[in-house]
Amino acid sequence: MNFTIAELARAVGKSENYVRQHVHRKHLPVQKDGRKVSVALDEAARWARERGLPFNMPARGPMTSGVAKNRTARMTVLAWHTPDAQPRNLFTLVRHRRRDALGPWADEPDATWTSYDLGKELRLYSFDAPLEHCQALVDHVLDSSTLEIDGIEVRYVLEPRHRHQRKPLPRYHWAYRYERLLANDSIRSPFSNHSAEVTEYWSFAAEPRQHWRAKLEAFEDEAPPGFARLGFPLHRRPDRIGNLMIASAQDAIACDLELHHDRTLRFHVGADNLLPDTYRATIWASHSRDEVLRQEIPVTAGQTAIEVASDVDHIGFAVYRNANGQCIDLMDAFLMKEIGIRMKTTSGPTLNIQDRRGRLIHEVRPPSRISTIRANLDDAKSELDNGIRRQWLDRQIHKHEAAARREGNLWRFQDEEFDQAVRRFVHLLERDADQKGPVYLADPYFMDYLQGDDGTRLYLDMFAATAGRPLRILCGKHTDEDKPPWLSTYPKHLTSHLRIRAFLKPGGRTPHEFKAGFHDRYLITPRQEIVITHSFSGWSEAGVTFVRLPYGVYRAEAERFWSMDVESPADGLVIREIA
Amino acid sequence: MASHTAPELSLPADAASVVWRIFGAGASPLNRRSSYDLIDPIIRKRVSPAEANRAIATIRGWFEVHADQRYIKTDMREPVSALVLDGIRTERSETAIWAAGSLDAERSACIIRSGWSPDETDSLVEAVLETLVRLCDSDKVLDAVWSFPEIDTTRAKIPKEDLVQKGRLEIFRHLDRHGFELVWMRLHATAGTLIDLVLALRPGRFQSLVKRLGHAVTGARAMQARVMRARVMQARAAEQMLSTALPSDHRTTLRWITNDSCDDLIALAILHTLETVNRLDDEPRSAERAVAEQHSWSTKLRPPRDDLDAAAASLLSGLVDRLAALDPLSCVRWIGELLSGAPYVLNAGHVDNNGKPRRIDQLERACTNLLARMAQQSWSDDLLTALRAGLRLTPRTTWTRHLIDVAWEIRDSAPARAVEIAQAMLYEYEQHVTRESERQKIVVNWSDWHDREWIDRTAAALVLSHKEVDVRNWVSSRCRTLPLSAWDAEEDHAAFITAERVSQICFLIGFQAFQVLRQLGRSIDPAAVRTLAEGLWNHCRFARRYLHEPPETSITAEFAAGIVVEFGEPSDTWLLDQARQPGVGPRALWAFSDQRRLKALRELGPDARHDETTTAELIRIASDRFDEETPFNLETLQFWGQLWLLLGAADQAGRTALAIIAFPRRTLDRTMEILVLKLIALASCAARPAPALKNYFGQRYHQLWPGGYTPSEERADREEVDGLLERSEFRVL
Repeated sequence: MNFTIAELARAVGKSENYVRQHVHRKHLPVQKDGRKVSVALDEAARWARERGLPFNMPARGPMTSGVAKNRTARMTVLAWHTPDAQPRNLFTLVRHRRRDALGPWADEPDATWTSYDLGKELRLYSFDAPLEHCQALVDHVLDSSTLEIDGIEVRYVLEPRHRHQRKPLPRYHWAYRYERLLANDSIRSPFSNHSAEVTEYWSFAAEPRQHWRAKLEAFEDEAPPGFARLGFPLHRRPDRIGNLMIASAQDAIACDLELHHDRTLRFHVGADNLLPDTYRATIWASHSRDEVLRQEIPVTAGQTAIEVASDVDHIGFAVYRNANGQCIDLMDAFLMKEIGIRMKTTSGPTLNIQDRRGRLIHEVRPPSRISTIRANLDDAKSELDNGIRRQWLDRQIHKHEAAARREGNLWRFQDEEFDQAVRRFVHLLERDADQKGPVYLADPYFMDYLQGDDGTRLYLDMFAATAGRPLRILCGKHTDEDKPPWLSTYPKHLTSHLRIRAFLKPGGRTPHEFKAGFHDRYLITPRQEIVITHSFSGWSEAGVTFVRLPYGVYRAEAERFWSMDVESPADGLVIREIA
Repeated sequence: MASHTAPELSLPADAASVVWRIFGAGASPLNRRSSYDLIDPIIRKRVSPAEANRAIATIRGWFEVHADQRYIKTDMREPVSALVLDGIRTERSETAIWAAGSLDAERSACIIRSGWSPDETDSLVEAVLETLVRLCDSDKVLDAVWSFPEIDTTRAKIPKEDLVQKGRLEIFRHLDRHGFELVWMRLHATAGTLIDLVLALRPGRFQSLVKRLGHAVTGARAMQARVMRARVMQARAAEQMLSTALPSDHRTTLRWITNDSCDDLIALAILHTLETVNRLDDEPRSAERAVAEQHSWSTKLRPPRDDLDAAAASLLSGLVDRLAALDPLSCVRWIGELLSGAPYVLNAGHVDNNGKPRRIDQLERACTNLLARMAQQSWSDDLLTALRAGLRLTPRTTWTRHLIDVAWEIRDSAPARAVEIAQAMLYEYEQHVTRESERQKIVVNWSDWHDREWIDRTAAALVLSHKEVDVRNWVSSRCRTLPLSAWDAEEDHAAFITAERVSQICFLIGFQAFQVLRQLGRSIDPAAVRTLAEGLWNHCRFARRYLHEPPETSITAEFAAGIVVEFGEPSDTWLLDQARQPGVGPRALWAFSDQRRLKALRELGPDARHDETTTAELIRIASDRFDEETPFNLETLQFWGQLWLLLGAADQAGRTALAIIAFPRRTLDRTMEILVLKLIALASCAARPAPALKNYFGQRYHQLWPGGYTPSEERADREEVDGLLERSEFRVL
């Protein structure tokens, strides 16, 4: 199945221009047939997945009654029972699958309701019946907005698509077995071995939603015991409150992919009477994020072996229905790395303790001083794999750092990048120049003067960048009171907006000595809060990193420090005004 | 007496008359000061000032110091003991009894026997007994006298709930096994000496001592600490008693069991009888050790003079006979407690073919015979309740097998009662499975003979309960009640796993039922056996989708395959059809082939030959299955390997050996190493082995059997390997 640009744009909820730009930048491979441009389904899915875009397949009609034969269904209803009020639907799920897939011991569904009291006014009802029977119940709910369960009427509030329509209209989507590939609003298939075609009737009523939140708080955000019978993790998906959902297991075929010991991928397909060319599958595999295989194969019952040329740590497949291109099953998994650990404990001689009849009553094996623990990672290949992993981690560091830098949250400078660090620091000071609020700079070693041109340039730039605004410096070192602080060597008009206070606490080598009353370095401007990993004196020795924080923790701390009375001990601190 | 000891001690008369008070106060469990510390205050209080200083100095001179502790000098012990005993001859205060407890019991008994009248002796013994009973109320009696860090004190302690829930036998067993420190060290020395003194002076009062200590703590209000103190003192008394009586008569303990005996005494008798059986079994080894270590303690029996084996067997049957003489309710309760407790006491020692220890088998047979006699003569619900109460006193959950043994024993003589008991036990099985399933704890450990017998006996109960048993229907109906559907696997996976284990147990019981039917001589429908096996494969094929451990590798699969071959009359076509089923794993395939070989050997003799076409087809099918299997695990590889060896499939053997060797980072045990050697040797019969296999073979062969030495249990394996190597054209070694 191929998408046109317009179809793909609709599927990912973006403009056509957005898609074309990605095609132009070669992020999205296309197939050209004359002037007609299209994108293959698996390529489109991969492209959307890598960018975290939702990928909604075209809507399809509900299951026809002919298909419903030989299918068994389980309907579960989570209802909210309040005294003196009609029970309300919190969530209803109808799952159906092939009758013979239930296992050899499952009896014919008895079409009777079973009820479980979950406590806190919640009750779960479960009903096993042929699919036709459950469909009739669903139709009744859609017609009357109620469901009768053993004489109790449960009320539903389901949304019609348009205001003038009475009957709720369904939304169709697919639920796959693996969450990782899903967009945020997708759900995971309720069937462990199959994907599901989902028909969902939505409810936007506010009341049950608020009630459910209160219940979850009462359950401390955990699902109540017995809740798993509902078949849907409603405690993690409160957006589905009040909905009615029908999930059809895609069990016409059952697919699985495994890595075999002889470097082959085995694609298993279990199906009865599978017609040729009904489905096709795309198989992929990668190693250390390098794709080593992407291959399309026809789906035939049994096992298909696909050789891979290298080690593999990530495999996946997607199965498409040829008739309409619908992806009916999807799997994507990272393989576990085998880690072997060998432990060897060398023991000393056994001490036998006997009673007076010579019976052995106790054995003591005192451990010797030597215990060896040996961990082997991938044996002979460990060097290679470790090297690959190190490179991958290195890439990760750069990638994440670049992302943080792009978002303006992190700036990192090596020791030789002193000038760049100063420029960034001054830029940070200048950013909120239009704001009149004070700027706080906390550095326990601020009073250690940074010698040389570097220091002079830094101080001058800093004072100039903050001119006109109060610059409040918190330091943790008390200077010699007899000597004027180094600050006095700078022109007064440059430092007139500057105030420095030392925050000290007892604890030096003698009772009269003090040490710094705080240890973090940070810069607070009216709009931002930045942690600085080194004092000025350490920038040229070890580099420095600025990290912007969104929490306001240091701002509160700086303001609290500054609000303390000078020369009067508070919270065990001694505060001195230096300049 | 005082006339000849006092002058030797050079003590003034008024001081000599209070010496017992010094030792009595010093030995009291209620007093923390030592006798030495009490010399001064007691002498100054009771002796004239003129004599006091000399008396104090003299008495202090009787002591010597060792490691900061003061002891009476060796040469002074005899005269001091005589002086103290002379002082308490007419005194029966508590201090006087502590004074008696401060001396060496054996020496005291000697002095008393030589000088005291029988009335004086009886009076002292009575006063000591009263004091010991009162001691149960004192929390000082189990004080730590000194520490003994090498012993794990936490193991010696009996949890409070055990004192309430467990039987007396179990508590005394615990004290015997782990309570050395409690009984011999932490029990206050004075209390221990008083017990020894009573038993030395009046051994006949042992039963009375045990009974009175037991009486002191009976009743619902008895505090657990008091019970503990009483049990420790009773255990001490029994051990002391046996240390003198047992060497001369190894059946001493049996005589403790009478209709007048209290429960504590019977429990002690049972425990020490079983311990004596252990010692008789250990006697040859003990005798060797005694020669080497000058170790003297043992029973009077010596090999080869007496038949130790017969003595031990006779002791076990004697124990059951003595219990049989009790009133019926007590008898069955004690038999129950004995059956449930004996496996924890009797040494495993020699085991039979089923892995069951021989002595336990003898004891169980004797008990079953006794219970069977009772069941035929005078059975009642009360007896059944008492027996259950005794059987359920240990944590083991396989106790129903004993009652089914009784039903089995009386199946011909009292068939209605046998059916009644079997049905009750089958119901008990259902209850047990339901209970354990709810706790998600159910598991059958096939390597434990208890569990194997439990399965076997439950199958017997199933067969005895029904005139015409439909095994498949029974298994199927049980499985249908379990949460074993795909819905259950998805909604409550833990419950599904537990249910799957229960279903495996049901199948085991079902297949075992065919064995029971054969034992009873009842007809077996071969089609029913095959249908049940097909049910198991279907179950495995379904359940493996939801389980981490494939169910077809369980013991049930192996067992089922064996039973099908024995009783299912499977045709070659049926076998080959089964081999193609995904629910039939390598374990079952191997078991099919192995059982066929054994059956052919048994029925047709060593010249029996299989249809080569069938074997070739089986190899082809199994080989396809082997190629498709993914991922491997070591257990399945082992069964694949065993299968190839059995079928002589050389190529597959080589590939399996390679897969085992290449299995990621797993240390192979000797069994697996030997299997790999066999597989490589077999592979080399058909083709030149790969260099990796050849290297591995050479290295491991010499490591396993260096310099030609082969452990006796591996000789047959080595012969098999060497035989295969001889057949090979290619040099491997």
